[in-house]
Amino acid sequence: MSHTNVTQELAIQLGLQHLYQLLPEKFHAAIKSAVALSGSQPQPRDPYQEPAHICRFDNLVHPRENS
Amino acid sequence: MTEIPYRGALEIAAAIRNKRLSATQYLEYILSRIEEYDPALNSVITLNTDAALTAARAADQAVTDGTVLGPLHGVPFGLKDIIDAAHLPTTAHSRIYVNNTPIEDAAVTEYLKQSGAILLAKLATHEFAFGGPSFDLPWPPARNPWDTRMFTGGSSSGSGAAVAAGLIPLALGTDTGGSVRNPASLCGIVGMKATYGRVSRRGVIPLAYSLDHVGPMTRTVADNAALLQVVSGHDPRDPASAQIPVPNYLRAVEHGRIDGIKGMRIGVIRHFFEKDMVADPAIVNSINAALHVLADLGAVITDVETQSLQTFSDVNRIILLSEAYAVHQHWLQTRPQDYAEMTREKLLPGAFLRAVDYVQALRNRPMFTAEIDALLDKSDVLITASSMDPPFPIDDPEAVARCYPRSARPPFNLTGHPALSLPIGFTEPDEDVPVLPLGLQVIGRHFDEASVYRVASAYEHATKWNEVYPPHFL
Repeated sequence: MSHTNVTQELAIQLGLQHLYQLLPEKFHAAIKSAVALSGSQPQPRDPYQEPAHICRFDNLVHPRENS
Repeated sequence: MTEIPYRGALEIAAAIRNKRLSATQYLEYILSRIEEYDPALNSVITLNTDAALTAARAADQAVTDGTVLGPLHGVPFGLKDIIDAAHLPTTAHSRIYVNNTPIEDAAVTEYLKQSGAILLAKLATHEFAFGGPSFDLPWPPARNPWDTRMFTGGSSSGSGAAVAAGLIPLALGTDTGGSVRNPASLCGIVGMKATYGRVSRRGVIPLAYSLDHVGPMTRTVADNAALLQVVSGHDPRDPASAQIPVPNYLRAVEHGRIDGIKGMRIGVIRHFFEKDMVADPAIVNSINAALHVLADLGAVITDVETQSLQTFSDVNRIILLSEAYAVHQHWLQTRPQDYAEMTREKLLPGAFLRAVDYVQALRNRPMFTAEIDALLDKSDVLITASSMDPPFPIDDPEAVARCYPRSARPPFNLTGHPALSLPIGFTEPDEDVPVLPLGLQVIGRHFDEASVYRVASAYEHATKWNEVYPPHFL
């Protein structure tokens, strides 16, 4: 499968086929950008190194309160 | 007394309270300035004229009646147009939200109204606080009052332009990767991103939940402190809102202005703008000059080191793109044509970041926060660059694309520390380009905005850069 077809197939799988039609040439650049970002950040190896959490269970706002 | 359009919010509030100025007359004067000057600036999306005039008349009546008045009684304010005000459109400067009219005020809007301030305008932004100065949206991009050919910075572009041009004394912006501090730097005003959790985000269209901050944009440090005072505090309806007492920020401003900063320890993250990313010489020279002023005021200045700017910025960008894509995925799938081309392009990499990238970034975040905390164990505040370059032409897409990564602002969205952009002078004018503003950042410990204001106030008082106004908007 050609490079273009692979990118187009990925766009379809992500539900972005309309966006692909508008920006076909930008998809490859966006993929490269995401891969570069992924590789550039430190990769923590200590399994106990927790992520930063903003979601606690003592401060949840139920969606109904916001509607 | 300062020229009327550039009078500070506190000065206006005092004049209204003391019956030396009518809120209605001041509002009419500001409206006439907007009518005269905004066609060149495009800072306003929606004017709230009738309701604001009604509120101003009520404000004058309250003064006459001897009612207890709020700290910003009768002072007009503007909101970046991603912040809700009941029954006015919140467009996000986007076709997607062109018909979006909330029925409730955002928390910050509510608090400002309670303080007596009068909502006058919803202000231009980059689309959804993320796009850029796009020319393919229903509203044109805001322009820089120091030279209308130039970029305001963004994304709180209308807030920066309107405050800098004396069209409005107070505005709120939002800051996810620097969007309050960037226009503050490029428009020559004061912009504060307080500690994450200090200001409620309720009623503000999200860009990236864990990085979004609402922040005050003003012409003086004192006005900035007054505005932050009003909008700060715990909001049980914002899950990220912190239950931390809010100190008296105006006292900190007075402390800096009257008592100075003798003995305060200032750490300079010089490698951010001299090694990791080489800033324009005008920026570097102005930062060095500002550090001399602070040293002359008695501060103890020391260079400090942390992770590279690029590493901080990359982690911030992974979180920002991942969360922003989650917000926008549905519209990108169903209505991509309704976004500006620049916005679509900027959002797209978020589609290709993996879950593991996001989680690793969140795991890196506390480590990076601890690094800045460690610097602040030995310093009362930190200083570094804000933008790496002075303002540049708004119609130069390459320069626009280059400017977003060329800043030292994202680290403090990532770590949540308070960071303020402060004017520190101007470029040298040449035949084609007049003077353009320059800024730096002052960063404080979590929930210690007071020390940031103290340093900024002492510097402002010593230099008076805030008393230089855009020459074509006097």
